[in-house]
Amino acid sequence: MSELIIKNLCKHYNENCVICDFSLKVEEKKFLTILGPSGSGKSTLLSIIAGIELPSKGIIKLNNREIYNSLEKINIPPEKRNIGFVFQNYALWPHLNVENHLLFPLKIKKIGKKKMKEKCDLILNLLNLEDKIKSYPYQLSGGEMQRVSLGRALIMEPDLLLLDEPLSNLDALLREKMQNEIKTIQRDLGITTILVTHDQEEARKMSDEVVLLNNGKIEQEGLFDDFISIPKTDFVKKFIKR
Amino acid sequence: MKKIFIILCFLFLSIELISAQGLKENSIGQNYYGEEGKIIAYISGPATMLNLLEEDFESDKGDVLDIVQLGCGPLRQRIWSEAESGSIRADVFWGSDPLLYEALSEKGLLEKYTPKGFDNLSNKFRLDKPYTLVNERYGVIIYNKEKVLSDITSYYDLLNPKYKNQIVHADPSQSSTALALIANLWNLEEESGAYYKKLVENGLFLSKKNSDVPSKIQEGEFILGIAPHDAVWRLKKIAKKKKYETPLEICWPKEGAIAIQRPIAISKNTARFEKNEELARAFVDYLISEKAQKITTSFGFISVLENEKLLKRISADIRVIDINWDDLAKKQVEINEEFEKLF
Amino acid sequence: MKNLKNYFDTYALRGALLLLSFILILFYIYPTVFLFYKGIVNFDYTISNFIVPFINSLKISLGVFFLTSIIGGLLAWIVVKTDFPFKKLVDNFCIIAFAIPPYIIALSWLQIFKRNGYFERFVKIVFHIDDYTSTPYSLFAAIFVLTLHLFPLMYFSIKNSLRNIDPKLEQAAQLAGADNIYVFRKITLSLIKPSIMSTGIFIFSRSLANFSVAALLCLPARIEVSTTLIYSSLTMLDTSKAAFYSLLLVIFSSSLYFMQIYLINKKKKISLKGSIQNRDISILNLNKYKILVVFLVFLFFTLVSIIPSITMLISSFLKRWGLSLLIDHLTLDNYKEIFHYNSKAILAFKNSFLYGGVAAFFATIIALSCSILSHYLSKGYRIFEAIASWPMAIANTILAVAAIFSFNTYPFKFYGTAWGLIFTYMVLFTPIIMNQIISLLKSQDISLFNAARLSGYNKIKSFYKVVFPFLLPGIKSGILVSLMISLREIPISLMLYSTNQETVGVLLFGMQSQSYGLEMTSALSVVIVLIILLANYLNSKIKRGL
Repeated sequence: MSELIIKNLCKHYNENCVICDFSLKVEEKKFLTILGPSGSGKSTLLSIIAGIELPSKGIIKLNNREIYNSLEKINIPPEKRNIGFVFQNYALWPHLNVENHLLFPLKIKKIGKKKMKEKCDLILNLLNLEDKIKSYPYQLSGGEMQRVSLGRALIMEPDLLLLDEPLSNLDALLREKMQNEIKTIQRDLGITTILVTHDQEEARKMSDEVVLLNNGKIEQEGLFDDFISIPKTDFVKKFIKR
Repeated sequence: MKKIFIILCFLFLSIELISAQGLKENSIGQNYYGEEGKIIAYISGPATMLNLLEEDFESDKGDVLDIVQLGCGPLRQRIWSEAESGSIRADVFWGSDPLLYEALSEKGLLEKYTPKGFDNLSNKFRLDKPYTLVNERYGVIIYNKEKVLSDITSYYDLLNPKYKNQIVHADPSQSSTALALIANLWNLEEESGAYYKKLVENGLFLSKKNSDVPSKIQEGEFILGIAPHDAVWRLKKIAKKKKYETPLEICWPKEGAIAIQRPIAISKNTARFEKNEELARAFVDYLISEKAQKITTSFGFISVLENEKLLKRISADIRVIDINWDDLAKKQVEINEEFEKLF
Repeated sequence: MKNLKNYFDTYALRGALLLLSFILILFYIYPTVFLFYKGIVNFDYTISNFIVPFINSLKISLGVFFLTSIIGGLLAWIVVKTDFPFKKLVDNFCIIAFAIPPYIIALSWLQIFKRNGYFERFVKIVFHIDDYTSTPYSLFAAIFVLTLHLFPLMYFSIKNSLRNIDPKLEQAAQLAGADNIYVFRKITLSLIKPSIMSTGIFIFSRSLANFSVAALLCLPARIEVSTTLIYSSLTMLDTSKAAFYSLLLVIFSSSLYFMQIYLINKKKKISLKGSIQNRDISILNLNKYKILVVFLVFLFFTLVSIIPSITMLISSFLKRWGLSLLIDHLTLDNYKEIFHYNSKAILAFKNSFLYGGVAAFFATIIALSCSILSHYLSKGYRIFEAIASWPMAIANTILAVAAIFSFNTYPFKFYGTAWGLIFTYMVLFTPIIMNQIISLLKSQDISLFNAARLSGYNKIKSFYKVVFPFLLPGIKSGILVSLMISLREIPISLMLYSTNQETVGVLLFGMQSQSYGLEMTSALSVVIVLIILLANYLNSKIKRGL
């Protein structure tokens, strides 16, 4: 069960808490969006879940396995968490072409060449990248890069997929297209997903549930429509637009 | 990852192995790390001359000599650094003036060896010192014969205002031989340093090395200078060989040319192999033998042997100023400072 | 300290760290400590003697720093940000400029500007001023010559840095209404400041530690600098004094270094976005200014590389420098002599390449290790970087003296063997290579590294697969620079070599013992520069061929 459970997560920078006593449960196959203004700690949260940043304390459990527990001194390194991550700037490697980007996570698993090719073709097909297979990042458009980044994350068959504002660099038309694509893929593959964005429309369109974050604290969580009809705090009222 | 670690270990071990070769330690903790049957010599001088000497010596003894050719300055610095670090690596070293040797002798780092053929030396070269004098050369006036206005005969000719800014001399803070030259002209007049004061007022230019002096005069940058004579001798020879005219000339000043000897010494090391000790001594003997002396005089140096027949000498009526090296060794820092003050 | 366990989860890593520490202590700390012990033990030196020369050294170093920044920066900006047509040519000219040994540039300067030099003769013939004399010796001459030698470093550094800037950062400013100059001042300049500072500190330190140029161009005008003072102390056989003054220089330079690290550290959060996916860097069209800019750039390189090269070339064919340029006075003999010279010329080149190559290899490993520690781990690990850069401010002669002191006795007797030379070169090269690596490391976005980790690769594998390829160009250029240095370096070679270990530097110095003049040194330098150019050409061919 790729369920994500976070308990009492805290992250401090100097005296301030960037994430303050954060607790959350994401059921498997669900699409959750973390919404919030800049500086609310969304990206930090994602980095912490992925394991590329260390929290100050708390417990994170994925797929019934504790990947972080400050009390028990458990900290599984990112490469062993089986989490897929799509970076805001795509983080593509300039010296590898599209094919090698997709094969990269597979090569470390030491599965046969045939199997690697199968999986690669699957993803290429899924993301419409077949004719870009030998291209390098500098030859790709923004949308194509984004898809490569997504493909790289998906080919791992991760327990959890994290998306850090993946569409903010794209134009409106492309963004809409990608939103639909991502949603479709997520539903088809059934991967537990967390999307981070400051775009409310995106949150409303794509997610099953939304968490509104402000200054490291949860203002409200649940269905987006509830944010509009039953805002729990003043901030929610101000932030959410109809 | 493990591969890198292994490689590093391997390198580390090989370093240890290589450096631990041939170490012989004696009772006072001195090391000797030469090969048996081969001695190391640090020598300064014209490369061709050194090659000839090496060939000649080895034609008799075999491949026993490792010569490290150095400039006068680097030789001093290197020997001194080695001395300060605990052991002089060179078995023998042949330098450009006795100052270094006086300093080392004071520290007891030189072996007292009276060479075979000591009696063949002219009287004035028979010293009771732990080093042997091999050659002599003289600080003289060097000038461009096409540009001087009249005959040059004396150091005072350099004070002629017509030659302002046209005079060059090596810097004593960069060259110990230059310091020797200056020290001896320091008391040319009654008042210490007066001569140099006037020279500086006449625009004396300081070059880095003694060998720069004849070069710069030949190249036209300066007209007059004071430096050892042997370089001029060699420059003239080269000009003849390559068929171009050189305007360089030497003047033997009436006040006297300054005699500077080139000594050789054996470094004291009781851990040295017997065979090497013999070889070192043999090399010193060789350098004051007729054969070697002939070679060095063909390069402009003056022989220390008392043998008029075979060897060139400077004309007997030329006046020579001899340096008291002991004295100079004690006063060198003082003179250097006084000299600096003139600028 | 809890986090340490996460970092060193294998024994191999722990062992490697220990080995690195050992190497740093043995080769970088031990000799300097030994040397400075000598300096401090006889502490009765008045610093007053040192003050004026030190200020002169500072003037030179600061002058060189500013001039190289301006020249290097300007050239880099023209090449990266405009549609200047001959970009590759600029790169090549810069390599030539750096390949020419600094004392050759100094000698060219002298040959041109000294009394009876080419410039004076030119003025006399063309302008008929018979009693004109030029004098080449001044503080400015030293600044000028060192700048000409070092500006390529700044050029390449700023060029790489400019290339890595996310164009969006500048575009944003432009869209906000700023004009080009404002964008440059407020945005671009702050983004390239880290490179300017780290290369700048390196250039500053090397100028501080330079002896040959200062001795040639300042001393004759009775302008003393710290290194000439140190050298004359050595000549007076006063090693303690020399060590003491060197100590002062190192303390000063190290303080600057730490200051610079601290200043840059504060701004670490600004991302230069090394993950540039497209090459849409905003290009400025020169339009009507194009011809002017091309002309100025070529004029600059003519003065800087071409004229010294030509004077060097001409002099190499003269029978004797100073002779007028008549056919009778020309000869090929100089070149013949070089390869006949003890027949050691070939051995010398081989040794220089071998020792330089091995030393560069070791230096790369050390530089890489220290850079990784410094960049990826907590601030405390910067001490490794600092120690490895320590030798930057030490004059070559003093490095050699320190090597003699530390490695002439038990238990490390490298002195007298080739290893003595190699290790001293290694210490000399490390800061150069580390400089390249660190600036590249800093300019790559950490997300590329993280993406590899999240794809299943541990820290080491991620580094190797994704960061290391990015560092390779920097490592290559660092090694190339090191090899160039080993081909012309004199003081260390002279002080540490033994029979059959002659390097090209020893050869160069030996030329002068033959009463050869500038014509022989010129000939040998022409050979050296040609070899460097050949090596560089081969290197670029290999890159393309693959």
